[in-house]
This record gives sequence, structure tokens and C-alpha cells, in this order.
Amino acid sequence: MSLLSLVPRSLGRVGLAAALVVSSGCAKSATPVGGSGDAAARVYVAPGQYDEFYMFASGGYSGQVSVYGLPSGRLLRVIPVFSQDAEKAYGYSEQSKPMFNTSYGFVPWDDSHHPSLSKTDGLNDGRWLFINGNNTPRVARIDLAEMNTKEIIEIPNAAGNHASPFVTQGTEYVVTATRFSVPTPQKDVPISTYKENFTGQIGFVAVDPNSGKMSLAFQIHMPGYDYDLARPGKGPSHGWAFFTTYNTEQANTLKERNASQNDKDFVTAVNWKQAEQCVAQGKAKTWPTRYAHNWVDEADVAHSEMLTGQKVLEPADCPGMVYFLPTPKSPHGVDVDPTGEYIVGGGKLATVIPVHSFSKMQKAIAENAFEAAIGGIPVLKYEAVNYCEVANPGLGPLHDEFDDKGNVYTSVFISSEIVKWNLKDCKVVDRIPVYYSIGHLMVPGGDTRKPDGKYVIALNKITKDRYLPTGPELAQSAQLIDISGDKMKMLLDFPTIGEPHYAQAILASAIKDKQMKTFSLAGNKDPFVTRTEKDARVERKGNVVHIYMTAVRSHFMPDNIEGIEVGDSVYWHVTNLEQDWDVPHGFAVTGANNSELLVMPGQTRTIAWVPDRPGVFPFYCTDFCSALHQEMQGYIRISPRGTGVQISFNTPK
Amino acid sequence: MENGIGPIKEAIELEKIDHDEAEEGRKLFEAKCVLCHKMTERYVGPALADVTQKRTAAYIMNMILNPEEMYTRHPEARKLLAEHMTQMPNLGLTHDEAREIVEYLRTQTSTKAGS
Repeated sequence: MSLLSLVPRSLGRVGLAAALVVSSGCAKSATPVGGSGDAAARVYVAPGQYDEFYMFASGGYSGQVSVYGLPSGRLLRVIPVFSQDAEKAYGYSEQSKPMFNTSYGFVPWDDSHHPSLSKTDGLNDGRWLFINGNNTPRVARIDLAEMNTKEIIEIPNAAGNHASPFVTQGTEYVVTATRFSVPTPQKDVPISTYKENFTGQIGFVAVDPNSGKMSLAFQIHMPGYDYDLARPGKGPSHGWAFFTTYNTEQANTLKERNASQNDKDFVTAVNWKQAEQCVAQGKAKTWPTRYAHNWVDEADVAHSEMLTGQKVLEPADCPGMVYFLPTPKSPHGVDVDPTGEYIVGGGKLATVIPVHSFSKMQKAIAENAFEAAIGGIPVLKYEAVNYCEVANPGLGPLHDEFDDKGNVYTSVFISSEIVKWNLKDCKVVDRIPVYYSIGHLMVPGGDTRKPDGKYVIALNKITKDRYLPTGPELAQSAQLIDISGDKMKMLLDFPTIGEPHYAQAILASAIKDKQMKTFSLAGNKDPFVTRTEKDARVERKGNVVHIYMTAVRSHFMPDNIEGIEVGDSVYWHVTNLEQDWDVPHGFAVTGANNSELLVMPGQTRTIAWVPDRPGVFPFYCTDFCSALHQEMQGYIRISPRGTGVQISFNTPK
Repeated sequence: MENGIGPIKEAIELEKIDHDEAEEGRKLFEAKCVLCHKMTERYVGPALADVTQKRTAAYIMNMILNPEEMYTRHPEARKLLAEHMTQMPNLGLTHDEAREIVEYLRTQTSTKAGS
């Protein structure tokens, strides 16, 4: 039973939302909210067994990526990406701090929205996961064998990098775009001159097919609309990318009302192969922008470089590159089906789900079926590109994912449900209420040429009474739904960290056996590595002291250090000598103004410390490593400045 | 049981000490074993100067190559675990590397027998 049926038709849209918030309590008891009898068996992963899928969810305002097992919904890891993580010394260790560099300086947080698995031939290949930073526009690349962030590139000329970083069929590019049009390039103008001065950009970041290294390829200078979400094409539509485009009203204030006036906005279709040609023909201009590029090298040490220049194409200079497809109404999601032929719009404020046809679009282009042009960009006729409109989809359809049987699953926000329909007849065949207020949804492989199917995950925005309450702030709820039969079946509810805007899943078997177990101590290229206890030492260079320390169960070497003075800059370079699986060591010293170190087997990590008072201070291993973990501890003696106590330390006999 | 539990299934015949092999074993010992073992005093693990007198070569190699099973299932290794309270990690050594370490340990006996 849909929540829709509980609300009188006479209410306006705002009243409807309010009524639904009130009525959601009633709906809970009216419909079975738990799974059916065999749901428990379907989601139980017995001790010693493994989950079937890895699910990577964006952390939203946490700035990280979380990893869950499916079907159990268990949290396996939080991968730090855009936010400092003191537990892992990410953004605190000397080796990791450069990852946070931007043209605005050190930015220790961002808002991560859309994880995107690297693809080969339209299928998930298990190499990398890309994720966007929405606030200070950036894209990050995560290595999936190590599950750590390896590279972050800043995106110039953008604001609100939301339609990002969706991956093309062969991982040629990840896309970026501007959701908050701004003066591009930035300049000081009154905000009310939005229509004259504010513009957007749609960008393409090239990915090196071997190393994964990202570089800015080109941007397209677009009219001042909001470029919200994207999907690259696949199969026949490979070479194109589609971006939802709303606020064609070009409102700059109270957009809730002012950007929701027009009946239709657009899906922007970009022929990026055409753009490549125009760039090769020298039609792009280079804008003198400054942006940061940060990466982790082979020694597992991060570096940051400031780069300049971005190639920008004007649509008028490159005919055939960009088209507008009218789409009702303030469309939010755009998704391309597994065959690459159908482009489904999530018309957030529309009463239907519009589906465009790629082949009809190409025919419309060939036949010049334009109704207008904006800034050199042809606006195709709606009837010429539209394939069908799915009626009665619920209120507020947003995103679509696809299964392996030609079905489409659409998340519907205001009426808080998932509706199922198929591309053959565009009719809703099933609906299931979700709790509550769903944003994105995810089918494993649902954005590839061959979805795995089996489940759809609802990523909900409102949690309320789904779990034991935990004060005013609640974890967001995700729900696992079985789609293997004709009717969807609710299986499991599980809380998630931050706000998972979107998720991607891959079969565990694809990457489980490639997971790194240790770093190679013999191959450790950190400039401050200490490979054996005999090489452990303390060296003074003026006011800077370098401690070359080893850690192994259950002692540090050296563990008694003297001759340091108040105000010295002390660098603790800790190398974990273990070469066994899952034996990390931690390191912490009194009064550190940063964090602990967490050092994996074979790895070297460095933390900076400035002692501010004389005395003898302990340091210790923070990560339980052995029966004698509590004995894994040492002392450092700090003498007053200028007392000239000689550096001394114990050595293995 | 005198040969331990692990990949070495048969007793190993020991001949005259091969000093080149022992030198390779010394380098490995100082990279991998000194973290926990000294020769004449107890450290994290037991003192090893006379281990080649007390244990067979096969036992020692199995201890190096298969420590988890040894300290879980072999009565002698289990006794040592209870005494030292630290599990010997698997250092990922090859069969040949373990054999070289045995050769080095043969040169470290306090009575220098078998040289």
C-alpha cells in the first residue's frame, strides 16, 4: 500500500509533504515493515562465512567512503578520503598531509557524494573507486586492493561539484560539473546579476588506463543553469554523457520556489568524442586557473603540486558537441539503461518519469528537429526524443537503477517508495514503501552493461524510529530489498555512517583475493624507513630531531630516548617490521597536537611532535598487538632548551 | 614429534657445516630473528645458541615455516608459548631461507660441536 493513498488529494504539494511526515507513523503499523519469514535466513552470514558483495557508499558530509558487506549490512571499513581521520593519522601523518592541499590551502573536510567504480567495456573491473568532493570541488581515486585514497585532483571553475565523478564505459574520463553556477572565472559582481554573469561548466578528467593517474582534459563553458547529476552512455551511446540541468529559470535566491517554475528543464547531452576532436583542432581556449593535484607515490608518501591552465570549449565553437533535451521538471537523476539506448530522467517535481531514446535523439539531430538554441546549444524537440513517460510513479521520482531482467527501479522521495517498471511498456508493476524518504538507490552492477541484480538498496534520508534512538542525531537508514522475484521483498534495515548519497557494489569474488595483506618491508621506499633494529637511531640536525624507530611485537626500538630539548621539532619515523597479516602497531606520545600513528606491517609512518616542557614522557603502542601489548611502551626525556644533554638511546645488544 | 609439524616431513641429514650457507643464514637472522631472539639470553623468545643441540633440523625448520601450527599443536612449542606469552609470527621465509638459518644456528652453539 502506497503512502500516497493515505493523503487527501485536495492538499497542495507542501501540505502533502507535511501530511506524509505525520502519516508515516500510521503507515508503519498498516503495512508489514519487517521482512518475511525467510528474510532472516537470506541476510544471515554465519560466523566464518563471507558476504556476497562489497558495497561502497559515499559518506556524504562525513567526507569518507564506507564499505559494507551485503547481504549482512555489516560495516567493514571507513576509507578516509576528504576528511582528516585521527584514528588512521590520515591528514595528520607527514606522509598523508599533502592529500588535503588545494588552491585554498589545507582543506581538512569535504562532502563526498557519488562513488563510481572503474569500468572496462562497461563492466566493473575492481581496480579503482572514484568519489567527488562537492564543496571545494575535487575528485578522489581510491585503490581497491589497498582500500586507501591514492590521488585527489582539484577541479577549477566549478562550484558544487555534484554531477561527478561518473565514469565512462572504459574509464576514459570521470566527469565533473557545476551545480551552483558562479561567475566563471570568479569576479566581484552583484549577486542579482546572475543572468548576465553566472555560468557553469561541464568537465572531463582523463584517467590513465595503467596508473589511474587523473589529469584535467577539458571543460565546456555552459549557460548558468544547475548541472546536477550525470551518467555516461554505454554501448551505442558510449562517447556521450548526459547531465541533468535545472534552474533554467536562472534564479539566484529562494531557489526552492524560483527554480521550480518552468514545466520543463533539460537533460544536457554531451558528445565528448566531438569535444576531443575540437580540442585536437585547437578550438579550446586555455584559462589561467590554479588547482592542486595530490597523489601517493610508490614509497606510499603523498605529494602535492600546484598546476595551472584549463582548456575550455565554448559550445558555439564546437557544433555537434552539446544538445539540450527538454525534460520535466527540475530533473534530478539521469540514468542510462544497460543497453545504452534509454536515458531515464528523474523528474523530481514531475508527475511522470520521462524516458528519452538515444537513437531518436540521433535522428532528431540529423533532421535538425530543434525548437530553439541557447548560447549556441540546440534544444531538441521533446516529442522527437521522448520514448515514453511512465505514469503514476509516485511523488518526487529521483533516480533509476536497472536489473538484469529489463526492469527499472525508481526511488521516489516524497511518497517514500521504490517503484518497479520496465522499458517494454513503461508501466509500474510493483511498489514498496521505504523508511523513510529515499534518495538514491542501488542495484549491484545497476549502472553497468550487465547488472548483477538480486538486490536493490534504498538509501534513505530520514530515519526517525527505525532503530534504537541515539539522542537527536540519528544514523541514516539503508534497506536491503530482494528483487529476484516478481514482487519486491524487504529483507533488512541497516544504519549507515554520514549520509550515503549513492553506492556502488561489486561481487566480493572480484576483489577479495586481491586485497593487500602487508606492505613489503624489503620494498619499502620511504626515505625514513628503518629496516632492522640495528639501524634504529636518533639523529639531531640543529633543532630538528629524527627518530628512526622500529615496532614489532612487543617493543619499540629505541624505547628510551634522551637529549631532546624543549622546542625541538621531533619527527617520529615508525616502521612496523611485521610481515604477517593484520598486525598493525599504533604509536602515541603525550600532548601531541595531531594524532596517533597507525602503522601497517612493513609500512613507515611519521608524526611531528614539539615538546613544550621538560620531563620524561611516555609513548606507547595504541593498537592491541599481542599479549604483551601493554608492555610495548617507551620514554622520551625532554631537557630544558640549551642544556646540551647529548642524544642517547638504547640499542639491541 | 621430534621433527615438528609442518612442511618438513622427514628428518634432515646434517653434514659438515657449510659456512657460505651459514653466512646467508646470519644475514637472514639479523634481519628477521634478532627482533625476538638473542643467543645466550631470553628476550621475547627463547635463547637460541644451543637450539641445534636440543632440536632436530626438521623441527627448527618447521618452527620457522609453520609457527602457528607448531605453537598450537606441538607439545614442546606449546610449552614455550605458555612461558613466553608471545606467538611467533610467520615471517614468510622460503624453505631454503629456513635451511640457511639452521646452518647459521649450527655455528652458534656454545660448545661448537659439529663444526
